[in-house]
Amino acid sequence: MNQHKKKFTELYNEHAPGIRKLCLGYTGDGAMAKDLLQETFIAVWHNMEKFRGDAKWSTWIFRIAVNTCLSHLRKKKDPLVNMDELPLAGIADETHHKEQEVQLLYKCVSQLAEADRLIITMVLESKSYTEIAAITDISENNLRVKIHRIKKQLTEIYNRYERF
Amino acid sequence: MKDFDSLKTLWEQAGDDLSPRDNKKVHWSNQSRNYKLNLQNQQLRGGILLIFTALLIIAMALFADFYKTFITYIGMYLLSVICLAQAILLLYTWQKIKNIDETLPPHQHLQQWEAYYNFRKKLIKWNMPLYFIFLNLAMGIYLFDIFQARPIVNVLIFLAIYFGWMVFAYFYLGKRVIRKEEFKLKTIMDNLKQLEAQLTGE
Repeated sequence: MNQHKKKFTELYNEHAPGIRKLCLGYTGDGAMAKDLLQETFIAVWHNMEKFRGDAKWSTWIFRIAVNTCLSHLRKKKDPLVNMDELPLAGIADETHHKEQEVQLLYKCVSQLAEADRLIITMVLESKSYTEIAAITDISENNLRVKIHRIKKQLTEIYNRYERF
Repeated sequence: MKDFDSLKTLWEQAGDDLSPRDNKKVHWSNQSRNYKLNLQNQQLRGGILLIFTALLIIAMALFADFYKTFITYIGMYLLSVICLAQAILLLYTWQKIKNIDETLPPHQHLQQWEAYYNFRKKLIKWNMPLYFIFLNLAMGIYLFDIFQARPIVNVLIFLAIYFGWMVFAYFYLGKRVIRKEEFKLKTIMDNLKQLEAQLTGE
């Protein structure tokens, strides 16, 4: 049990920041991201004995996070963020303010289709294509095409709203 | 104009804090996980309850002071054996659900549920009628001797109530539980199919 707890703490310390950013990219909301992060690590705690070592710990944990995110908000039909809700006017006034640029980036990520948000967040987190393919169970070729399309889409959304 | 690499640099410099926003439009759903726990607990509760029932019947056969003959003993022991056998089956089913690995990719996770669904369908097909028949046979053996010395009117009233309850339990309650279980299983599988489709974009 102690060993289990020690390993869990180690995994949490190592992967929680990345998972939190994944959840932030997915929800565009700090409080919801915190809930999803918590759900993910509850699932990690309960399933640690099922880890068979055929993937890296990080792949396994990110897969749980991806499944948790998608299954929690899957029922949502409308886009997560209504563009009208974005504080774009404020951003336009202080265009070069770094923090606001970051906030806008998070909001733009959350404008993408649900699975796309997760994929692009992992790209932004510098995960390799091989690992993202293993996490999402998508073939690497298919993934490359997807990522190319999502990158283009995200850049377009960001630039469109930065111009305001 | 920013290109993707600039966005990536921006992301790397970002903290991990965002202020909450209006979440009214977001529907949280933890349905699949709740349904899994629900299905799991249903089997576990049933198994434990049947073990206690079997132990109670054995205790009654051994220690309770009421009319008992060789035949009533056989009836009571048969009842406990049937309850124990059914309990083992329920606990086995509980273990099967518990072993379903939700940490696998959606496709493999779905395959596990599909395998469980097929197993459960086959099991219900033979187990439900067989359990019902054997339970009533054992009850019949037990009651055979008990009824010998009872007035026929009392026996008929008892049998009417007993069979009425059995028919209600088998054809209404039992089928309703199975319908609910099937709904939950199908919901879990549909959710996983949606999840898989979201990732593959199909």
